[in-house]
Amino acid sequence: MNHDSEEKSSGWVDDAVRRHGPPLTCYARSIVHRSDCASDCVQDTFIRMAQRPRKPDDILRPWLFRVCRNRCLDWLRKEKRMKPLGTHEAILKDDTSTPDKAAEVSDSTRAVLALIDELSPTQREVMRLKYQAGMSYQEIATVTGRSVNHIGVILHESMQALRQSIRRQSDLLGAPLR
Amino acid sequence: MNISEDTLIDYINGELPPSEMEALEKRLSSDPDLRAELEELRATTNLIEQAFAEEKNLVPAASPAKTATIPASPIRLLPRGLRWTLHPIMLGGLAACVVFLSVPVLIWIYQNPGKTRSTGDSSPETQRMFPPPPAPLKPSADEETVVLFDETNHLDAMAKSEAPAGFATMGSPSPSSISVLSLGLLSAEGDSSSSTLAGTRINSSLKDVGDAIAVVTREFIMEQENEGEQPEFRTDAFDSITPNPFKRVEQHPLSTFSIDVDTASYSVVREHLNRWKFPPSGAVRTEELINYFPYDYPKPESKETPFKVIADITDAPWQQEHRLVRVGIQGYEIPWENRPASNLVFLIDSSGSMNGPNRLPLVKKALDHLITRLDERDRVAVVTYSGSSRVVLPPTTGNNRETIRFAVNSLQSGGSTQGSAGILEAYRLAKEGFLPDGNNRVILCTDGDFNLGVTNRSELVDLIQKEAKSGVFISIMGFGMGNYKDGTLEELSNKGNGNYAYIDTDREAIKVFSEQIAGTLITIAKDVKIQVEFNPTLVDAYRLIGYENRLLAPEDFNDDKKDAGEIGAGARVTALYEVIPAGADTEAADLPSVDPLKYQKPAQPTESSDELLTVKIRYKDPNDTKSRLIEHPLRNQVVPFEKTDDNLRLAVSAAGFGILLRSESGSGSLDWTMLSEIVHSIQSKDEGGHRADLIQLIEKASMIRYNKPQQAHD
Repeated sequence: MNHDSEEKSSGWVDDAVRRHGPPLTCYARSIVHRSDCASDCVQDTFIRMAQRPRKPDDILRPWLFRVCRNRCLDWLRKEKRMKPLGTHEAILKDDTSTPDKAAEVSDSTRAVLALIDELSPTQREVMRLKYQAGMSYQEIATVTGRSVNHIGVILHESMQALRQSIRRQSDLLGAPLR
Repeated sequence: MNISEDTLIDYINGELPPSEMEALEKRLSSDPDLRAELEELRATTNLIEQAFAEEKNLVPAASPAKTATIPASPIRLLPRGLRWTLHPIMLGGLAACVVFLSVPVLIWIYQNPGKTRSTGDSSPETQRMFPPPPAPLKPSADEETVVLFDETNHLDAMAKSEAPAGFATMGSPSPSSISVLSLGLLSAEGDSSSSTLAGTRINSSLKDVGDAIAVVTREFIMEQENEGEQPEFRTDAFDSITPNPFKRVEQHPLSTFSIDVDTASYSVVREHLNRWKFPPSGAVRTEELINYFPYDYPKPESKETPFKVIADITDAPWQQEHRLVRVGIQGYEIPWENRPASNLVFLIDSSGSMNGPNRLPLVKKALDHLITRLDERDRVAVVTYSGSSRVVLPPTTGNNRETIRFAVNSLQSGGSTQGSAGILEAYRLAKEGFLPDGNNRVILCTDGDFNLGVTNRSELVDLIQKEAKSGVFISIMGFGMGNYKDGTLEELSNKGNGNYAYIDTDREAIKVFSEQIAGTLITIAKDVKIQVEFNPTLVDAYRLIGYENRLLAPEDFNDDKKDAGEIGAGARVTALYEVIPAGADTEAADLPSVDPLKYQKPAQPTESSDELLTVKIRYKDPNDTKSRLIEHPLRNQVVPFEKTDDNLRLAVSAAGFGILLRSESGSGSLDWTMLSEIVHSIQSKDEGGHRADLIQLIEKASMIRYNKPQQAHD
């Protein structure tokens, strides 16, 4: 392999990691619920990307998310098998966010994230792909293996549910303090 | 045609076909209700997007335990001469890639565990961290062979149910479990690219993989290093400040401004520097840095004239020929024992964002200092707000310290922030117990993020302005950084007859609530304005250092309806002018000029006078509506800077600190070294240790500035 193509290849890989890395990591985390494994899955995804010929951008993004999703689901299945060994608790304990970092997050963010958590897993996933990764309906359809129309319906339902709970929010959060 | 919410959602998401979009936009232009609905949906969308964007802060990038337990040996396998230390969290990914590349290698390692162990890390901790290797490894499903899941297979079901039989042999190994293996492999092989173990297959692809890993590693290393300094995820809000320029006396003979006794900016600056961050220039209000320090000015003798004014002139240490004029005001000191009765309402933000050691727990500590100083004359009520407001303690006499303490200490953080409801409730209580001859005050402790109820800044300001008319004063105490709304709090305190401090440490709490408690709680004069008239025969130009957001129009000075700053008992205010004497070189000042007037002659000096300027002060008694005037002329007797008193040198140090923190141009030879020399030349006793604190901050700031020039223009 000569130096020129190396230089070129690392350029686009670099670029792709920078652009897609953060949303992919959040996405992976939402599936596996563990930062370290999410990072592993995302790195895994980028390594696969780097091993293959370069793809045009509009194909690349859904491809990345789809591969990442499958890596995560693989991991979950694996974890299922590993559980009886009882070694995960120790790791999980260290996986909480640090207090001062978390304290920087605004109230509204916490509240909204909590409300999003109440949605169904499918709704959550589609919301995330739309509003975190900024994907089009078509791209989300590719990632999740659903039809474009179906994605629209899921988004509408999620938005409706979310808006209702946001309107209710002041009552929800206004319960007397202990 | 009825337009559904779904259509609007699709429109916001940019998914509407062009024809429908046109129709909708036409409809929107004529239908205000529909527009309102669209705006509401947009707001919700923004809320969701913001939440997702900030989500990152809730979970750190890497598990600290892993980082701590696996020593990472530097591994060179990267092209382009870059040497990256492979971070432990990378190993999983690296290992995974090795699996895909060369299955036989891993199986070989697995069959020879003793060998890999001996070369890899074998500390007991590492072994405890990772489960033993799983059953024989097989390559995981690639994207070409991946099964797309339908609804029935959704994610939670995946997590909870038995793995479908077909997947049992397809799953990739747990990343953490193969970390041990990969570590063994890498240690054994080092950076040798002609691996006899891996054979030619791994050899030929290693560069590609190395490339990818270099990139991913770099991302993660950067993420680790930048922990907490990603500006896009910090939501502190500071208003921008443009430094006052020099003004020609012939065009602007009067300089008018409202006093400002707040000190918040200094603590905010300190909070940043103590984290080794340069504060954003909008956070640096030079006048608040100057007024932070307890200067030792002559005190007024009687209550009837509540101020003593001093003014003097010296050389500007940073610019030849320029002079510095100090105007100082010392308020009448009421001994704490002789103070009027107080009617206090503690209004405490207990929303989720107040969680954290420098927030609610520090509020409790800070108020404790205050509670200790109260007695049977005083009354205290405690109101808290998060999603809604609640009276925690109805008005209670000040000597019931245990009761008050218990009420404050019982607060817990959680929920959103409906600040407006809390503000209304607190003012209601304060008005109910209003003491006509006493000190009526709301003490608000918050991080300034109001996200429910009235959240719009200008509406909040209106609300507090309206409430302030009742004669209840406000003290705003800022806590916590990260989502801090400095601009909002500053404006609320300005408009709400208030003062404003930022409490970053227990030390600062003691200063505000114990050392200077009278200044914080008891107002001796309100709407205090300063107007300086310069003598054009002696002064060419001047600039006011700081007070950028306190400037008033000349005619506001005599207008008793114009609101201005309050001054507390024993408090002092200092303002510094940089002055260019008549005939001096004005080139350095970059003075703007206007053409000579065509229809009138410039004003002529009245008579020759050796007065450089006259300071005029207007103020009202706290319960009065009519202002009184004090005048104080300054004669042109320049004291060399070396011979000035320590108070002035301390004030100049604070001003210079502000100028350098904001990287203002036009201050001659002023630099960190000169600043350090000035502040070190002060010999007097450093009561309270505030000067030592300043010296330390100056050192920190100069170190940050010199080491990281790219942060200079924050």
